[in-house]
Amino acid sequence: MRRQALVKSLLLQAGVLGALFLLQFVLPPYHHSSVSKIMVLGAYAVGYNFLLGYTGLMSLGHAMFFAAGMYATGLGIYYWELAPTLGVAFGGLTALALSGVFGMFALRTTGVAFLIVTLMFGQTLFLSILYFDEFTFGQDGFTLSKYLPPLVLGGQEFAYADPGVRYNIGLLLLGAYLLLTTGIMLSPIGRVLIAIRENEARTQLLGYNVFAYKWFALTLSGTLSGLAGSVHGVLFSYVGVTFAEIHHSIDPLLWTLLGGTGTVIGPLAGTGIMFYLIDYTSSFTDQYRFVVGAILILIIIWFPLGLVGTLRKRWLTWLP
Amino acid sequence: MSAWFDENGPLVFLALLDGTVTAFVLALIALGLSLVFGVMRVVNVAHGEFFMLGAVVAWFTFDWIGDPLWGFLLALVVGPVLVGGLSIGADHFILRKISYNPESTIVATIGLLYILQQLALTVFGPESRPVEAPIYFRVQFPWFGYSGYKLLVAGAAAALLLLIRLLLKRSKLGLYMRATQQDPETAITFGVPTRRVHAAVFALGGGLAALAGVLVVPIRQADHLMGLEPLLLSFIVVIIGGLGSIRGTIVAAFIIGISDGIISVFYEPTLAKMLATLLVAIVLVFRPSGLFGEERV
Amino acid sequence: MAALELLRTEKLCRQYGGLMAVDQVDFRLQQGQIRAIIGPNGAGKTTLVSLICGRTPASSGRIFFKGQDISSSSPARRVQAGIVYTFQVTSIFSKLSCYENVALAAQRFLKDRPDAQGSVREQDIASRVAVCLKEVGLAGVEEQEAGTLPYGHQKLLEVAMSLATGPELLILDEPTQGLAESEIQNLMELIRTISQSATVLLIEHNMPFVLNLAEQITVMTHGSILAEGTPEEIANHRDVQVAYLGT
Repeated sequence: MRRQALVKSLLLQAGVLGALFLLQFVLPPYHHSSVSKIMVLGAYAVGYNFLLGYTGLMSLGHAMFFAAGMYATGLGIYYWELAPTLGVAFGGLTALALSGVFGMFALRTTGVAFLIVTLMFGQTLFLSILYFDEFTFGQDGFTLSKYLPPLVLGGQEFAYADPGVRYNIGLLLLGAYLLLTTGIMLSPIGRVLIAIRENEARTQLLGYNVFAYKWFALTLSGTLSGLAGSVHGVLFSYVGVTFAEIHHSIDPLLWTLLGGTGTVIGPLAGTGIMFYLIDYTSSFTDQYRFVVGAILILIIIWFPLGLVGTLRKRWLTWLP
Repeated sequence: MSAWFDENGPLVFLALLDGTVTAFVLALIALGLSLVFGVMRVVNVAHGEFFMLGAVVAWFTFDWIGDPLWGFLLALVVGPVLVGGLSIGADHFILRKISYNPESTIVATIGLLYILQQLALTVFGPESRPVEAPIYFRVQFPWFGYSGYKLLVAGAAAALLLLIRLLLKRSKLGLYMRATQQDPETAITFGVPTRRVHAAVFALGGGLAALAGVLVVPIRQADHLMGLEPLLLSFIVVIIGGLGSIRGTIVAAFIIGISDGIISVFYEPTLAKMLATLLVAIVLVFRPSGLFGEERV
Repeated sequence: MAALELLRTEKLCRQYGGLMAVDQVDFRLQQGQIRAIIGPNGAGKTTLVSLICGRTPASSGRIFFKGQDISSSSPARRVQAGIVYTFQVTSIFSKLSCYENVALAAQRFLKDRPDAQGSVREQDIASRVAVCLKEVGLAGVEEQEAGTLPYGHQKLLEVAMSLATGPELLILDEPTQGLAESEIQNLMELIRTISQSATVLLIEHNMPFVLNLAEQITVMTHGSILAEGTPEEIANHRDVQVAYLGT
């Protein structure tokens, strides 16, 4: 039965990734670049969903991880002239360290207190970036385009700003995230994480060290989010404080809720839908916040399972 | 020491004055948040937007009437009533629908935050707009003059806090609130109309935030993004003061207000906020019931 | 045959405000037994087993399991040591499949075996799940969502989970509650089977069930042990009849 689930899930993901791969040859430039962005942000949402969807912990501070990865990468490249690949690795390590330490503290709290603690730490990082503006360029942020030598692979040069390179790195990142999270969810660890989401007290009474599992989930989720931030910084050549704002913590929550928590492709679907919804509405109105707000409220009242979750429950029970 | 004081004494005094004004206003906003959390177990993320709406309403009444005093007095009525009505609507159409589930209400009130912000942006515009103070006079201290209106704001907020305390202690609503807070199920069997209590508390909380917005707008202008900062500060206050504890809320508002005043005068406002946020996150991690709150079961 | 002592408590106390729910209890349990604890409501039976499995911290006193002092061990540690508690009201993962429910328990047991070195193969888990489900008579429900099972079967699933955890001491809290007469018969057989590999401690109100099944009975009132003995001895015990059986 688990083998079946694995096969289905991999097939679905392979299908989605394959479709995304083929899309790049037919998409007009505008949508080509939109989809690149959606894939990187979708990877962020997948990282977020690992905590919310599979472990049941809701965070309001993931922008902290995203921004930590992005700034570590960006500052490393800007000040220490790190190669972009090294910069991304440095960003990922920074996010790993931050989420690991943060988890030790934040996971002492549960429920609403956990939400507020994540919000507060996220806000602390945001304010720190503003306060140390001599180092971080505060409100303005900074661009990286001058500091990004092309990636050399097998004697060939790939410029990060090239749309095709961007698109395929985004695709690789997303694919790796999907594969990794699916692999973990179908492993013994994933089974325990789901059990914690369903009934934490009972899981403890089965003899599991619940704190350690939650810590693992938070650390992995934070690292994945941070790495997405690093890659975002390099691919789009900009590091800015908006990525540390509360709104940027709420976004993955919104995407995940919209797509469906605890589903494999829900977060990606949610990211894509929101991206195009905002893109579309802002072409004739600047009132996209209405859309965001209304969708949040509507989902939470009528579709707590999200789109993919609702689909799965009503019609397509085989969806992973 | 005395040389330092000669130089910095006036600044310290100014910081204390500013801090006191901030503290009273903050206590008013945070009290609303705290009541709503205490009775309904709802963390209202849109609370700051209620404050913002109060300020925006005050700008409109001022703009409409033209006279600062009458505009202000009208805003004192219209602001809380409008926001109170809005709160009742939100309680009825949103919060009740999701059975006040703590995490769902956070998501729903985030949605409300976005909608209200957009509403203000649409009807009010993106710029900051000043509102003239209803009364203008200066109180002369040995070193500098100080806005009399600011002191009036502090006084009015203090009076409102007393009033609310009285309301909670003496009135039937207060009794109902305490009953609902302790055990909603039992409260229903004793004939407490918990639905109406919830609506009333949510309206009261929103109304307090709106009042604070009306009071503050002559000091700091109105803009559609002004809700976020008081929201975060109120979180901080409520957390330090203990979730649901009123006396703690007021004490904490003073700690935050005064230290914010001092750090802002001598260093930078951003640093003050950064330290406060970090501190409160740490408090919440190690003492989830706050520094002054009683342990809840 | 002098059986080994599996569990011993020394002057175990639990106080709730002014009430001594468990008062200076010295409780001994031999390996391989089926032991029942009976007593009127509020006698402290559930509190006593909660202290033993660590769900409730003791106010004072000590607990020894297989000679080791476990008084300060966490509930999770005690489960790992082999003390497994089965809930009075079922506490299964109702939204997960029956397979997943038992697999969670089996996985924990297999992972902690000394030769496992922290990694478990899915087929080992699957075979253990199959064995445990079969033992309680639930073979074939693997794919079903646990919450949709009839109540009696949910209790059996709970027992299957406990078995998969590899208990040395299985604590059953009111196992017959809510079961039909025929299900109770099956349960009795099941507990007899289980007792061949584990010590069983049960709290039960159903007297015929207890007298039929238990090898030793402990009677509690007001937080202390009133009497202890074989079913015949207890049935004929004067104090017990007065205090509990009400004659």
